[in-house]
Amino acid sequence: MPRALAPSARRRAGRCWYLSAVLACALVAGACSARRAPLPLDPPVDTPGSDEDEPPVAEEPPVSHIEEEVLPGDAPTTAATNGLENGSESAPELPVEPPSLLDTINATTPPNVAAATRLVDAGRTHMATGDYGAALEQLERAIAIDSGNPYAYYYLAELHFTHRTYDQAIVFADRAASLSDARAPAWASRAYTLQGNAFEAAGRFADARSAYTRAIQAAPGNLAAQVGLARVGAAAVPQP
Amino acid sequence: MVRRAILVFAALALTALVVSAAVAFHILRQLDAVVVEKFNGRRWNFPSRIYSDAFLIYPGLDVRAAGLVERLQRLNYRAADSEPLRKGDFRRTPTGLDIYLRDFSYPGEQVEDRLVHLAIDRDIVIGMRDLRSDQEVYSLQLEPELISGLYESTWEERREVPLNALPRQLVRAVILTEDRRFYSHRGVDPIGIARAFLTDVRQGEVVQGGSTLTQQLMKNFFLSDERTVHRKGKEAVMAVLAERRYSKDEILENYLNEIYLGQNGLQGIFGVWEASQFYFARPPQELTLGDIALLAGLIRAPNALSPFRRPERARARRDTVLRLLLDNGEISHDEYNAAIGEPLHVAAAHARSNAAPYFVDFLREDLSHNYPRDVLTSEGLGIFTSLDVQLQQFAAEAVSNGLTDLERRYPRLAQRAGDGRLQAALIALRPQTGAIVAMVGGRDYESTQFNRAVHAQRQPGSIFKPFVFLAAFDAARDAETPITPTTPVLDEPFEWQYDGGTWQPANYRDMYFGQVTARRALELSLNAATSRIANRVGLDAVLTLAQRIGIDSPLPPFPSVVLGAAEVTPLEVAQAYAVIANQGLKASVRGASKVVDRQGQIVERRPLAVERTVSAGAAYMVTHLMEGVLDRGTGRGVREHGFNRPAAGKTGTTNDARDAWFGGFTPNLLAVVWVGFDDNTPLGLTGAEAAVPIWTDFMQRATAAAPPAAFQPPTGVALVRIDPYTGGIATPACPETIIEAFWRGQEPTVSCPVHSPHPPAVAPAAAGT
Repeated sequence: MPRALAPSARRRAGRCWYLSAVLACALVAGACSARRAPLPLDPPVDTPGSDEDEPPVAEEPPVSHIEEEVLPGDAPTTAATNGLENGSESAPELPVEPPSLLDTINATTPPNVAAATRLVDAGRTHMATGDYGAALEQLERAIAIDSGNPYAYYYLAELHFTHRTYDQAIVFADRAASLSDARAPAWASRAYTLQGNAFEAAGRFADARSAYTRAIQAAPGNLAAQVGLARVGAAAVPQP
Repeated sequence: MVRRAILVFAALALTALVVSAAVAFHILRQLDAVVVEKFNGRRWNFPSRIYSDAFLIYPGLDVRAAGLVERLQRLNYRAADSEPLRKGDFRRTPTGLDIYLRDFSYPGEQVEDRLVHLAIDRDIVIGMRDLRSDQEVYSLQLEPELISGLYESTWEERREVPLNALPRQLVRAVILTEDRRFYSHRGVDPIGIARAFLTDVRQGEVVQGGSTLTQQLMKNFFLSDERTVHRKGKEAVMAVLAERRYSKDEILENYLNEIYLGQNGLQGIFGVWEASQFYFARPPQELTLGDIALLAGLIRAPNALSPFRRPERARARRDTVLRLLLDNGEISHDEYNAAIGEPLHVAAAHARSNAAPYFVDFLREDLSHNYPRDVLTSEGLGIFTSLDVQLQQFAAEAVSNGLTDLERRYPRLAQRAGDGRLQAALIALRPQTGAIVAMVGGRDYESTQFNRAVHAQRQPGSIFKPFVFLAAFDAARDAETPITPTTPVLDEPFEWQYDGGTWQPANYRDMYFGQVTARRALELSLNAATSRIANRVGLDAVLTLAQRIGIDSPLPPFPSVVLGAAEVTPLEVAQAYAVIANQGLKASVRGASKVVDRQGQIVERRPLAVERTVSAGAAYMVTHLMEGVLDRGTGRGVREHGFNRPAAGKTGTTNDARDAWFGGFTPNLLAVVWVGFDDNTPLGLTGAEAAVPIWTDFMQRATAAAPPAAFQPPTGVALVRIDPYTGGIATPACPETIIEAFWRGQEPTVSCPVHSPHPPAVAPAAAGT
């Protein structure tokens, strides 16, 4: 980088003869010039460099700095909280979330759906390591090539829930549930549970109750939804 | 006397000397301040760069439809005859493509380089393999394409790199070719000047300059190209001042980043890093010795020695530089011999043009809300967008070809010239994310920059009608007497009384169909029947919903607005239609998704954000009706033109046919097309005649790369096979049936009364349709 300080006086003196010669030439040239052109002090284009000219740094995206939220109640996606180990014999058990979404891909999966699911899986990995920006990138790409991918919407909801943007979490969870409702009731149940969590965190207890109820309808063995329903049921009752 | 005269003369001389010294000192200080300010401040303006989206390659992709090779070529990948050995090379093989993908930085993501093989069967990628690890891979990314720069007056493309990041051989080659005594002189080189003078005298013309690198830098920084003594003098003084204050390496680094090295269309290539990318499509660290010599030799006359235009001269100059390196002991004989034998490795010449000028203007306007103009044009921001350059080309071609075809078929449309020519706009986006993938604001940006896709306020006509049905179905969920797709509606003239008057909607060509279903009212775009539905739903409900889903222009409270008698922009229509396509979720239209600073740090991220604006069921039911518009209604031209994927849409034609519209979508892509004259001269054509061909041409090409997908019904909607004329549940005897969407609980419960499998002994008298 350029040095801000002038060279030493000794060095200056040593070069004095040289500078004088050049200066003399310049003076002659200047005298010969009929018109003294203004010194080109500035390049023609503005050169902002002050603090005021710095680009306005947008507010930090919500996904990049907020501390991880502790889920209200049980986290909806873990095997334990889905009641898998404790599921009763009478109620269908909520299937374990596959360790990798890649397990959902088979020979009949359309190629764009398979590619999108792989992107979601990568996004899920990024989420697990706390790289939410990269996760968001993968999830949005997944939706761009497979607009009906329920997993992409589910993890978008989870990402927003983690960062307390509950309105977004609620909408994305609803979309995830709607897309998987008939074909994958277990996923629909998870999505409704997550939506219930978001409603609950946002203080919308009646909506939370409705979401937990749907989650249980989709998969009666969903313990997290049952616990959530019990919790908001109590919370929603006005205290005497 | 003489003595006195001598004294006076001496006094005058002394005074002149003192004054001259004072003036010289003052000028010196001024020049010194200029030099310091330039070196210590910002030396260059860096235009912002606008990039397309990164492109994803995955098994199942149709490479021909996706234009994979064209994408590679636009990115300056080089077709090789043998196995790709350098990043940015690719070759066709009997089984597919070998590509040496480049590494690149995407905001928040570093993508590594990769040598891969794409197995391709009948244009479809059937497998992908990393040739180094021999592992199967499932998705690959191509780097984003540079769409344009945002600059003030000239587009100076440059990347500033530190001296120690450049190959030593390149630095030595530049010094040897431009100023071999660089490390010996102090800004001005009298020996060099003398040598140049003698050479010029011997040759009888100016063949060699005596300017040092420092002088060249001063000239480029501050001065013009004019050859005057005054300018040369000032250049020399400033060079000396710069050398007094700054080290040789600092001056050299500035020189290597400053120097002009060619022209790529609108884009001036400055600095060795940018030149390395332009000529060889790789950074300087990856250049061969031959490349380095070529680059160093270009400084003298970048355009006259361009390897694209004059490869023989470029090669000769390269060889001269190589000889110079050898003679000065910079390279060995072996290195020299190897480099002399190198072919010119230049990248495919690809003149930089702005592929999406209207989109760039849209972005500039959009970004100006957050970024001052000078920041946008000088801070070197990276603006990452959702634009797909391939789709943008399809859109531009669809508009251009569509308008040319209309003018050929209807010569009266071609009689106007210049600004009065027939115009069109097209905007395409992903409904789920609001990401704009293509935007065409007119047929020729050079002749008119008015962006009709964003700013043209035009009446939408019947393209507004889906909003009426959306309001109706949204209200129907909890209504006692809901409007469903099979609800009978009278398509006959009627009067709508409202505050301030009476309005009587009229059908196209005054043709009325009597009693029809709500579905047929939309499919056939029947004004009277649609107005009756709007009347039943309520004007306020329709207008409020239209504004909630994306119509920002004012909608006056007149009943005629339900038939599109208010002015809106194509962008607003696209936003509102995207809500229908996205099952009621509004994802605000976005051009830019991320902005990074010159160091690649994210300055702003615009993530996907959605809002529930209308119920998913109502949006799906309208989508389902709009599919019928294409299959049986006014938009059937789409099918006749061969577009057979699941798709929904609506035509629009305004009074006197001044505007022709078509808006439609598949589950993954939406496009809105407008055709008309800027001055509202009647077009005399319907949306089906003028806009549908353009929409279809674009959508056929834009969707071809991915397999078809169907619209999925949301929770709460029931699909029932019915007889379309009676609305009853279809029986095996029904000659024609369709699948219809209803709110669950509102679906028909009785079978078709006309085509019962067990017909009554006497058929009903009014069984006809």
